[in-house]
Amino acid sequence: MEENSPIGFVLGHRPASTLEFFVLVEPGNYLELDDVVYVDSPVEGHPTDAIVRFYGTVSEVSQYHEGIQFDSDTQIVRAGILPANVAYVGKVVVTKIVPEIFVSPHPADPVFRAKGGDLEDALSFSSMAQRIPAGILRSQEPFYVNFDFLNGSKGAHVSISGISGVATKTTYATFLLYAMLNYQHPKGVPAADKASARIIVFNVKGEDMLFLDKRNSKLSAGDEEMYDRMGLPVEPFRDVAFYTSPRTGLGVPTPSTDQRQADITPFCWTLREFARERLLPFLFADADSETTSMAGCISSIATRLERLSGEGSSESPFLLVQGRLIGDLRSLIDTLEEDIYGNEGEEEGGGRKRTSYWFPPYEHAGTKNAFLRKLRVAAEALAGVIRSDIDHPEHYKIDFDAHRLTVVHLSNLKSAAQKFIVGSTLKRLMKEKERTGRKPYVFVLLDELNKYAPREGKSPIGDILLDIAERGRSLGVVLIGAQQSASSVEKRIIANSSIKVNGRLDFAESQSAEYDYLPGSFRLRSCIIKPGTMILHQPDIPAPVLVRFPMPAWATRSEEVEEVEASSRKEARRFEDLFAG
Amino acid sequence: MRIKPDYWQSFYSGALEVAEERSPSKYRVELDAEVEPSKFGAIEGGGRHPVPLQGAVAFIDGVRRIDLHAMVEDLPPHIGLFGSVATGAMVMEDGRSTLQEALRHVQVSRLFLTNAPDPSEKFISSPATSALLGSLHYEVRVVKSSEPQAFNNALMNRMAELEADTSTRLSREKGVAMVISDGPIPFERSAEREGGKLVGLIKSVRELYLPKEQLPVLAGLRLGERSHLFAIRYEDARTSKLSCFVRLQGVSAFVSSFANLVRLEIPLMPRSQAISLADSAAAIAVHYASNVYADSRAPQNLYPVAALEAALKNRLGDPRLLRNRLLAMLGQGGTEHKSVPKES
Repeated sequence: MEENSPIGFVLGHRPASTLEFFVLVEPGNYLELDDVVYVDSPVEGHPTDAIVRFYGTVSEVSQYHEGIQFDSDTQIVRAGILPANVAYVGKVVVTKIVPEIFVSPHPADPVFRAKGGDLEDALSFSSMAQRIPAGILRSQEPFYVNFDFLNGSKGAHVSISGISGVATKTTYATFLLYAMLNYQHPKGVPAADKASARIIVFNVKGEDMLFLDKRNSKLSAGDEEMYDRMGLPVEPFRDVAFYTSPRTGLGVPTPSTDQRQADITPFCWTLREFARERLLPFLFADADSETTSMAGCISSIATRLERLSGEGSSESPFLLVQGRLIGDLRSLIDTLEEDIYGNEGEEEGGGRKRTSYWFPPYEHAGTKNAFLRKLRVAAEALAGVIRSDIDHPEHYKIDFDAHRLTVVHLSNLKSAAQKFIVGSTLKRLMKEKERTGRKPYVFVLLDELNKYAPREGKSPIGDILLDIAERGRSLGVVLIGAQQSASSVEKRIIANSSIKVNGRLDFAESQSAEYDYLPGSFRLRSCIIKPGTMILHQPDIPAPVLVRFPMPAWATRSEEVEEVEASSRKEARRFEDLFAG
Repeated sequence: MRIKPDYWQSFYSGALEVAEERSPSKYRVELDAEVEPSKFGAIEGGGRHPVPLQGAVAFIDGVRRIDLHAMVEDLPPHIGLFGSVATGAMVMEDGRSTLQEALRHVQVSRLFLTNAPDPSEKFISSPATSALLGSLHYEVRVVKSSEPQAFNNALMNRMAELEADTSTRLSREKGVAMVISDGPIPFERSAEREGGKLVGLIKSVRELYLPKEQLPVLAGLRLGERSHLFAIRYEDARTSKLSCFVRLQGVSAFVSSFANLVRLEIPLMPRSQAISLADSAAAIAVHYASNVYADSRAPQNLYPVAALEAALKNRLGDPRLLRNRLLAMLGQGGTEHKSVPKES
């Protein structure tokens, strides 16, 4: 009964337009930001005799005393000396018009709150061929994103912005992936797509992502209920592979992680792989390396290395250079140094200039030195990562196809090394996807996108990310990028993201053009929203929507790992002891 | 009856609020209504020590407006006038009222006044359409004069009728302790008829009534004080009234010592009852007195009355809208279109 009574009427005092109108809220009712409402207005004179339904979300609510002139009148109204009306007005941004007759709502027409099926229509959920839950609306109903705008069929890529620590960007990104993998609904992701989808998560900060496969013991009942509302199970990720950088200075690659040692593989590149895949440019991923002469130098060395990788025994991880085996960057540098500076007597004796094995003859000494200097810095950062002194190097190769979810843990590495790993991995991924085609989808989660694809300057890794943003859609590579400020990320990457999400924003940041999808009131709200709340914009709905999402069902710290597992481990040990005894 | 707009009159004078004019009648003042004439003076109390009032106070007021001047085409032509009046009450209760609760008994009456004898229609109406919301009905009334003042008076009388009706109805309500009407109370309204609750509040103190010797009393009234009651006896009237002056706000050296005064009128009634009513009314007037920054007619234009006037004017409808609608309606009469002369 209550559902059928209007919450208010289209305000007649201000123009109601096709895209925006105001509601006068009836006494005894309330209207909240983000509430979804609708109004039916007949179109007189239209050949179809249509009744047009305007769906919209509330973007502003205000109350005031009408009929008073001065601010201080409020006081005398309060004292009961001056009678005044309380006007309760909500502003509605139209999200959908059915049928598409672009008239405007009629003043004084009743406005209703959209619930259930009306809500699904209002937010276009009902017309989404495939959908995945992306949070809970203020009305406690689930909110969905259109999977077609994620997987590349209509659009792809997600851009998540927000202040570190408060905005919970990566948590939300992981939640979105979790929802995609676990949502069971006729309109959800088809099981085949889901089973074959691959996810690569680059973990660049802390060890939060190392427990994705463990249940979170600290999850509250409220969070569990949220999962339930969205039709999601409460469980950790399954089928997860973890890779981490190796500890430096150890003969055998050993995980560098603190909190987790089990089931985690240190990754390595052999020098032969490094050479064959032309990964040298990724060592110089800083944008300022991109001067013409330096780029030429990098390119010629990379070509030389690539040629070398085809020589000698392809089984061997080492490269054979001028009769010498080199297996890591350190020895590569030695070789290059020798090549540049040579043996002192050599030049005088020959009378002619020595020809360089590595550098073209026109290369300037200054450039060579600069190259060497930068290479030393990179070698330092990647010590233990590029190495050939290992048995079965294939065990240490990041294989993102073997498991559903692959976590690449990078937070113990310096920035230059992180860039190398991300760049090299993505390059390999793109090459492979060019071969295999759009399916299975590969989702790449990368935090601090502004570091990898900054707006200013050009870098090899920025190029790869831009390539993913532009071509990834057709190759089935989907970038879920997170950054503090979208305004400092390469424009075309943000522009190519179909789904835009933001958590808490810095005020100045919220005013930049990247957030033009936020109407004024949402920009202001972006500065105050709490962790666990996100503003999401997707192409199906012209207005952004505020959603809450639950705490992760998986652990993000070792303390959160569910006790049951710990006790079962204890149990196992007890058994071992029994048998040993 | 063929009515045509009288453009010149309408546009030159615009939609006027009718000016109030009152012809002074002869009267005699008796100072012994409350105390002996020799003791006539000011009373502490009133505003300073308000007399507790059991129930609500109703403020009654009305507004009137000429919507359009017109000519009735005839030989000779006659004068016509479309006018509207609205009356209502603001019932203030418990110190807290929203407009929805306080605004009551709103009546809107629209008249077409003409000196054409025996007009053929009883009403001139413009029905509502989907674009023109709300129908308009002007009741046709005959004025037996061609003097503009007679037309104004006819509107005023209609307003007074409605106000009197409202006041009588409110006086009979149990919860209403006092009815304050804007302006002098008409002679025919006896204390019995109004249940001893009616008080008239006169904002503009042009007529001082008191003899010259008593004027210092008036000039010396302090905030919240009232003068003793005096009786005004009209020679030509059937009855008389009691009256007193109240100081709503203190006066500084910069304003006249006769500023910030209102005059209260109450029908003749037993002395003790009259004193009690005057005390309460004085207290209420001071309580609701407006501030000079908020109202050009402050402090005499009490807050509830100002709000009531605004609400009533609102109920009359937008004057331009109404005039356009009347012009459109009269234009449908069939004669050729006349262009509207520009305002000079």
